[in-house]
Amino acid sequence: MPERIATGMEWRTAGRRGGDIVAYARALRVSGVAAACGALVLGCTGGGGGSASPPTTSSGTARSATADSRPSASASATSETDPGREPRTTAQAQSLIQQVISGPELFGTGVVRATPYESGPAQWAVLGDDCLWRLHPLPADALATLTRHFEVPASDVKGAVRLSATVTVHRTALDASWEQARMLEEDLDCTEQTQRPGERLTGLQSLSFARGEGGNTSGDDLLLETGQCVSDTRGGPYAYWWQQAVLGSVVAGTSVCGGRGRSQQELNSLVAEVLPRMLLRVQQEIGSTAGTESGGATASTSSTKSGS
Amino acid sequence: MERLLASDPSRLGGHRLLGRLGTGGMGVVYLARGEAGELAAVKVIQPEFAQQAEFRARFRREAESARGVDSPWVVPVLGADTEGPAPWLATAFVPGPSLAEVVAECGPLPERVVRILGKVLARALDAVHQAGLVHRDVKPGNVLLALDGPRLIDFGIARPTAAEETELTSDSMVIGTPGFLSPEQARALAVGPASDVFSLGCVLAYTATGRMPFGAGTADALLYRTVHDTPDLDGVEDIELRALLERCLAKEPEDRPHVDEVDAELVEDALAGSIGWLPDAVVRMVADRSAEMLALPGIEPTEVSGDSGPQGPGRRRVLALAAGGTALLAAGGVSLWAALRDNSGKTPVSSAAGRDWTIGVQADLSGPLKAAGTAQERAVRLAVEQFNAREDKPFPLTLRVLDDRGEPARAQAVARRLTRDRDVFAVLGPTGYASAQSAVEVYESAGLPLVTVSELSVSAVQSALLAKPRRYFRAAPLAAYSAFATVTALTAQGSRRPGLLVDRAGWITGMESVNVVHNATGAGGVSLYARVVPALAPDVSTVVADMLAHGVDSFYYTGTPERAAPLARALAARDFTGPRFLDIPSATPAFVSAAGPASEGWQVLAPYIDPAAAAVRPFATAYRKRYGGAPGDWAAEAYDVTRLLADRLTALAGSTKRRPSRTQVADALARARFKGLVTTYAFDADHQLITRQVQHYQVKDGRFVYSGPVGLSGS
Repeated sequence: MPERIATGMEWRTAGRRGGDIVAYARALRVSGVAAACGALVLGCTGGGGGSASPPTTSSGTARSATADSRPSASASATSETDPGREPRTTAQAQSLIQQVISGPELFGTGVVRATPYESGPAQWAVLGDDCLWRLHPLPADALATLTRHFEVPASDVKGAVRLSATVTVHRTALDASWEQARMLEEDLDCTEQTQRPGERLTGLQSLSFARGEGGNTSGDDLLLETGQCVSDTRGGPYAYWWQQAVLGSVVAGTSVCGGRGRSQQELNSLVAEVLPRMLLRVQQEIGSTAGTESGGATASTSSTKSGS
Repeated sequence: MERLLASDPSRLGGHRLLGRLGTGGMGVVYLARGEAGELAAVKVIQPEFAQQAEFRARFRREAESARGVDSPWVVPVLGADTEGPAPWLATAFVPGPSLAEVVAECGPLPERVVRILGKVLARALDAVHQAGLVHRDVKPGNVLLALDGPRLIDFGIARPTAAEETELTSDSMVIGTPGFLSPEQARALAVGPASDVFSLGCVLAYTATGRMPFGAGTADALLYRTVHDTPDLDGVEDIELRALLERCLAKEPEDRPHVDEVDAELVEDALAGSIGWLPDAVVRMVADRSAEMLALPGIEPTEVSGDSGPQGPGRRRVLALAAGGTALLAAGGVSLWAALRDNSGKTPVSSAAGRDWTIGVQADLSGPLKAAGTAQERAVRLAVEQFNAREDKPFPLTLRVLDDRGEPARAQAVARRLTRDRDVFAVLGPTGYASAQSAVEVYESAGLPLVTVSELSVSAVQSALLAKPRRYFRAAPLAAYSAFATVTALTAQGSRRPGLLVDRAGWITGMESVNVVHNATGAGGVSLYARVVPALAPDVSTVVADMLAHGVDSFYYTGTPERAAPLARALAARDFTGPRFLDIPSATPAFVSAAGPASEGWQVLAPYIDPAAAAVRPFATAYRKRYGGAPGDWAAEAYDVTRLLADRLTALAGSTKRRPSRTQVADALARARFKGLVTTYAFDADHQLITRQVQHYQVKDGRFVYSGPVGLSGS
């Protein structure tokens, strides 16, 4: 019998300089999403130097028989978004993505475009039962997706940092929420994932926060995945994390994979603002002016009574 | 005070008049000095009233009845002349501002002050009613605040409640002050003591909110609203006080509590020796007003030889206060509360006198978790009452309960109020995640120990603090323990392919278990198959076919009671008989009623003990006797924790009954080893209960049946 139960969320501040963490935590509070993620990142990952590749999108369709064939009008909006403003066509979805996805400007100092810069919009990566990521055509419930890749180039003393931003537009909010759910499942099935030969993610764990929980004030649901990235060519393991939020029918995410000599604090400063600000852009594009009545993030009695 | 006019008499009876205190509809009130040197307020009835036989009869009765009122909180009648051409009545002079002036100047008063005031006035009215009188004009202007406590004044219209009532008041004549009148007064019906209770409710509501409960405006409008409208009690946040005021303000006299019930329901708030119950600004106002009296002509200190009269606030106190003598003021407070607490007049031993020993409760009493919150609040109350009933108690415990409704903003406000109350040593609560997330930081900042029995998540405190909690104690096993034990139980019941169904409608508290289950199954050599269903999905059972296709031979659902029901029905329809477990939040009677027969056989491993379990029978018995029903889930734990707090406070107080600091209380809790009914309470370095077991329940015949504790590793 264990003395303590591992929840994956223990405080792991030993060995750090407490003052730094406190100051850092306060700074993070400027943004609700960043605050929650920052706090957990600090507690969840180990530091290192070097770099590895970020993943492309982390969504998959490995599961069968999900309910995603049953989108309904009532489920396609959240209290924060207006279904009337959500994209209906691939062209509208691609246009929205261009409006909201981050370029280097939302990242921290020193972040530049990587090569290749963009991937998508008709393909995305799917995690197979063998825990390998492969490119597949976009499924029917998604209208468009785009991933941009960034880096902080290596310097004399520090390794490169790899970063990414992804935005996917689904047909409905329910579809988007299923993508979020699938990502949670993936980390349970595959705590180690191979992005491509020689590039691996290890020790993956994820946690998901509904609006109002854990400082999540920007998205209907906010997911934080943490682990390490390991590369045959760049070394590691280095700290890795992925944040992904759902807002209406849109799923947006960012990733960071550390490098030699890069502290978690430094890494967080590179990505802390990206997701909240992309979500703000989404809100501006498809947000409701006054919270419309709809499904929302909480279960309603009516939706359960009509259940099985 | 105004100077005497040339037309004023210089003496009345044995009183030398010093000045005019005021002029009312029925006469002039003078400040006077009696033969023994005591100050008095002498009311002289105007000749035109004095000439009315009816009025004189009424005044005569008033004076006689008033002499029969025996209470330290009612100004005593010192003398009267009811037969002369200018009848007068002398009462002790109270050199303080009225409650009306205080609220006008200082604003609404804290609810704790309101409760104490309510208690005092209830006792005052009880004495009035005991003498066969109804005051009939209970209003803020008739409550004076003196250095040694409040006083109910003005028997100008008080009169016997007996048969002659209608003789003296015509049916259409409304006596009293609109805004503080009872509905029966407003309708000019016969009034009894319950009318004063209504007015008392108005006075207390006014004191708490700064507003009259039936609004302002013309007398007609006020009277109409008094009869027809619901009182405006917005801003009265203390759930008990609010409930009590609502009862006092019941439209039907028979629905209102008797004054001694009002007194009794506030009893725990009235403890010996505090002057802290009045806000500083009010104390200053009372002191200033009293000091002003020193400047009155004819009240030179040398004229007084130390006799300050039987009940009135002594001149020495006035002098001391004017000189900044707060120690004496404090002494006045002690004697006040000694008398208030003990009607026999015995002064309680109170080396720790001056401050309440208060335990706070922050609970969700009206929001989504009100069942758990209410069960806990009642259990705490019972434990406090039992403690206070002990003859050997080192101090009486005071209870302060605030309802946060499970709303984050309100939870933070409640936490601020409890932490600002310097008499509070520790708080039981909060009930759930949303409250904890916003309240814990307030307690941490204030250094006030917060002990919860039902907020058992990991992430609430993490997102709230970004650091380890120093003052937040979890007195029941974290939810993660239940999740871990569930995996153990599934395995023990033969499952080799457990299916985990995570419904995101269960929010973070359901989500937290996922990694625990994942790690535990991995370590246990069983192969987990997990599905996550978004909250937007209308029906979680749509994944059942996929899970069964993956060979799942047991189910563990985390989510909500209502959404678990379709899952239960889907499994029942497939004749699935493998082990089926719910997480803590979804294992409620709502699940059983929603799932019906399909709920049979579902199990849960919960942190709380069955309130009907043998181990907690003494508590359940006492609870039933106190409340007339069985305690709810989480009640036994809250009862234990209250006793733990009382035990720690008692130990810290020691023989000297010295008040511990909040830090000392927190340290004592951290080191505690207290044998309660449910378990032995000791905490680890993270202030989490050290435990190795959770409680097992299974649905049988339409309800969750308790089958006892189980160890985390299945023992």
